[in-house]
Amino acid sequence: MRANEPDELGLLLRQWPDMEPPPAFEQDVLRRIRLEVGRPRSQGLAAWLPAWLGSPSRLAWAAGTPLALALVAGVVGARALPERRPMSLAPFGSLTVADRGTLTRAYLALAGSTQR
Amino acid sequence: MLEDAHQPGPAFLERLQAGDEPAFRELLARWQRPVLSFVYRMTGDASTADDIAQEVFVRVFRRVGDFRRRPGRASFSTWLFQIARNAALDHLRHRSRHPTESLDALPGSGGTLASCGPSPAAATFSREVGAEIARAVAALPEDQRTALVLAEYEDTPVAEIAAIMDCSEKSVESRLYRARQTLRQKLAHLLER
Repeated sequence: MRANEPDELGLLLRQWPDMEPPPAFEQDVLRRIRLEVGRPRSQGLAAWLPAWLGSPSRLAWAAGTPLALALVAGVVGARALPERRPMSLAPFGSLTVADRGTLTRAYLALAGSTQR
Repeated sequence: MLEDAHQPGPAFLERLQAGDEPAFRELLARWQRPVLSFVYRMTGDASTADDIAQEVFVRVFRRVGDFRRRPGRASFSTWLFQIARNAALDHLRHRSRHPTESLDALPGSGGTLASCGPSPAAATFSREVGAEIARAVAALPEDQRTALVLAEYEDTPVAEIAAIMDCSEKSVESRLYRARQTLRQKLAHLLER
């Protein structure tokens, strides 16, 4: 069934004829397909990965290696962190409102000097 | 053999997948002209339509296994024209990135329509009228051009065009309407004859 019966425009458009297949078209396609059949299929990652993971030992290796690396990275990272003393255990008076050199400290110093 | 012109059966598809040459000859006998003409009208480029259409059939060979395995698969013609459309779009994208390679390909601008072996019908058609139609169709946006070429030249029903273009039937109807409106304006002088 046609999408629409040909109207005046449809009849005009039909004056642009089909392209005739060149005489060698079929042979050219078949030659390309023969080349395709003879060519080894390229193995993309999607095809290679399941084949590689097919062995149980490789599957265990693939799952275990990232886990072990994450564990080692976590332990090393935790050791590298500076030791912190909890706020509640710090002696009174040793706590500072702001670190030296911050804008807040400068403001507090200024406020203290004006009050005096 | 083809169990239906539009829907090759499982046995035929299996032969295609195995690279069976007689099966491919049958397929080509049925589809080479529609595919070649569709690609030609989509690209407006007779010199490369031949190569693109060949590539379409190679892609059919490569992917026929996927088509066979697809549950609730589309009709063979829908799948084939999806591949043909994608191949034509690949070419158009390439041409837009490399404009100097094939700008002379449009019919009527020193193109190669005559070199592709005109049919008896083509021999009698007015080259100027054909070239004007080709230019007007080529100037349509790609989605309108696809819908129009399939509807007007391949007699494809709206539902199948929607499946090929992966859009709704309403959308196809709208594209066809706009394409025809544009062509009526551009080709008005030919319609008045």
